[in-house]
Amino acid sequence: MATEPPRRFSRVLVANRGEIAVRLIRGCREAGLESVAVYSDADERAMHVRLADHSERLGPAAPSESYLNIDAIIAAAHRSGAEAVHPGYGFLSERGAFARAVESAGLIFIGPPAEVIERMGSKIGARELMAGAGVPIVPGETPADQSDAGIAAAALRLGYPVLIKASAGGGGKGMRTVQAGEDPRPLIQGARREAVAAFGDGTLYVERLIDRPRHVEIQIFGDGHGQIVHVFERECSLQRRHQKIIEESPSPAVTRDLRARMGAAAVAAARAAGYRNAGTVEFLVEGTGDGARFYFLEMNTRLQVEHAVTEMVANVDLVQAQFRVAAGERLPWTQEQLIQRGHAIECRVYAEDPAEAFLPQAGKLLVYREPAGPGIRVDSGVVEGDEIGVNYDPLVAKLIAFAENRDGALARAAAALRSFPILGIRTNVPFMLRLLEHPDVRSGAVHTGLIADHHAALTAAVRPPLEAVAAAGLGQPAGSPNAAAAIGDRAGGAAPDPWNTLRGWGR
Amino acid sequence: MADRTVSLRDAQGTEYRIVISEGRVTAGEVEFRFQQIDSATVWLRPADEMSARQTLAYTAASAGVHWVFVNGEVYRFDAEQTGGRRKRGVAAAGSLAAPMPATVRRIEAKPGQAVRRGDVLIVLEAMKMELPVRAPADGTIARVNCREGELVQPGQELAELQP
Repeated sequence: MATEPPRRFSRVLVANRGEIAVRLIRGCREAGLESVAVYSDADERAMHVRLADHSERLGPAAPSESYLNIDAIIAAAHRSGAEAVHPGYGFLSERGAFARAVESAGLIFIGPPAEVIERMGSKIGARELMAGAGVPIVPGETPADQSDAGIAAAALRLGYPVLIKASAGGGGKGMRTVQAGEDPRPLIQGARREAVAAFGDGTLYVERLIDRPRHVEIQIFGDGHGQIVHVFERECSLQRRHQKIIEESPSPAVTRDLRARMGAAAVAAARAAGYRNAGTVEFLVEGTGDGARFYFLEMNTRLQVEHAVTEMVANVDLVQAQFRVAAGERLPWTQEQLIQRGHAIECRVYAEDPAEAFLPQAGKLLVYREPAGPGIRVDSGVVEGDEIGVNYDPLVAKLIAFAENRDGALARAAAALRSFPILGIRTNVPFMLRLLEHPDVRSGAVHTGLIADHHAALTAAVRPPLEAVAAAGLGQPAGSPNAAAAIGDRAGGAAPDPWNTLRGWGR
Repeated sequence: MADRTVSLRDAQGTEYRIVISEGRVTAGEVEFRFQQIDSATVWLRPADEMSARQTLAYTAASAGVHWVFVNGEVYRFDAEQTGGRRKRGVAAAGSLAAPMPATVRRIEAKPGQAVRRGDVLIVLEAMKMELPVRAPADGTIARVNCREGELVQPGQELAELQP
């Protein structure tokens, strides 16, 4: 068994932005580590920059010139005296070249080894490795002939319907479903274009589409001392455009027996990959109950967006564990010590218009007030008055509700969404409320096509009640100096200063 | 204090006159008492019912659009004074205006081409996602006002369609 010498560090550069940068910077503070924020010109005054102990500019707003610029990030680490780098999720988190560049620069990469990222980043390589380790996989291939005709031929071999996706990718970018009898060419071309735009690599992968699957993933964690554990499952079936919007743990479909089998498969997968630090093994689940079948989908070599639901139900802090494992320490828990209790649901608040095909929205957060209360956690990276720009992912915040059982968590999430006003841009808050109240979501009969199947009902226009009309008449331009004078018995003072409305400061 | 009147139109086109006076606001013949808690927060209750249910609403206005959040729903109204034209934000469904700052990835429509409702005319890219711009109705493309690779701004008409 491999054992590692300790690798101490005291200053961490967080190579990300938005809510995950804020969450990691807070984690640094809890751990007694100094934090270094990095930012593009668009984020100079962003919350993550204000919260950190140090900050370094990377470059212009375009991701390729800032958060995807490896040289700029390494230079920022050297300038700031950082000794370790946490990549967060997205951006460079799953680029083996980045992990390698960090280690080559004499810094510690808080994540898995570069060669593991590279191995798992290739869908073909990952599938071959998993098949060899006895983990079940969905039939599929990366055709050697990457022309439109070559991809179409592979689809025919596998049997329609098929899913075409970016071989290098993740996060639903460059992914298309092709049904039997449909002309595959425009879909192949669209997938390839998105793959090139998002990952700089247009190689496509084709796999058989499992009908009405559930997307269930297992959190795994390995240390440098030979220990690998799983931290239970997350149900991630509620997706739009192949991107998750609501996740929960436990999954309503996973029985004790299935959990044990999937957990063992995930640990076997992690062991086969030589995994260290936090990761996720994604599975497609077909059927329900003890007889359900599951297939390896992919391994995500990073902290996930939805890691908070695991933190709630397992009563662990995955980020603190990442710091400890990166420092060469042992995992803070054994498999036997990990217990899943209660129920957690995460709702991803996106700046998007569900009624207009989930079109991303940009603009100023005229009003942004986070809910609070027992069992409510909000991870966000914005304050009222901030701009949601067009350069980055439109995730605004994550609302995580925790309660003793699933019904309680659903009710708590819904009540919190009813107290989460965001105005100035459209968000999916009203949409998620309807989704939480949908009978199939209530009963736990979720699958990855549920949102598409019920899209019209979930986005139907609602007539405003007269209370809303009356309140609209009282709407004032944010921060207008004569707003107070225009109104009757006003209680407040001046327009809100973002510093006053900053929530969770040093929480 | 003199009464103030605001005219708003909701997303379905229904028009409302809202009359505001000292601590009272009337919409659709129903009078509410209100307190302005802060610049965005309004606390309302119907004026004529002792045990009426009260409402906590959040509201803001910008560029002729009045936004309201009540109990998890968001409503948008256009101010009549500005002619209902929106300067920013999302173009209406079926419009051929760019909905947000985006790059023109591909142009599928040619001037003179006959198109059917729902046909993809232009593909934009923003936030690493493709956004198809579809024909709002059957018709003929009169003009295309953008080039591939061009960065377009919200509200910019990308093409013109003749019925």
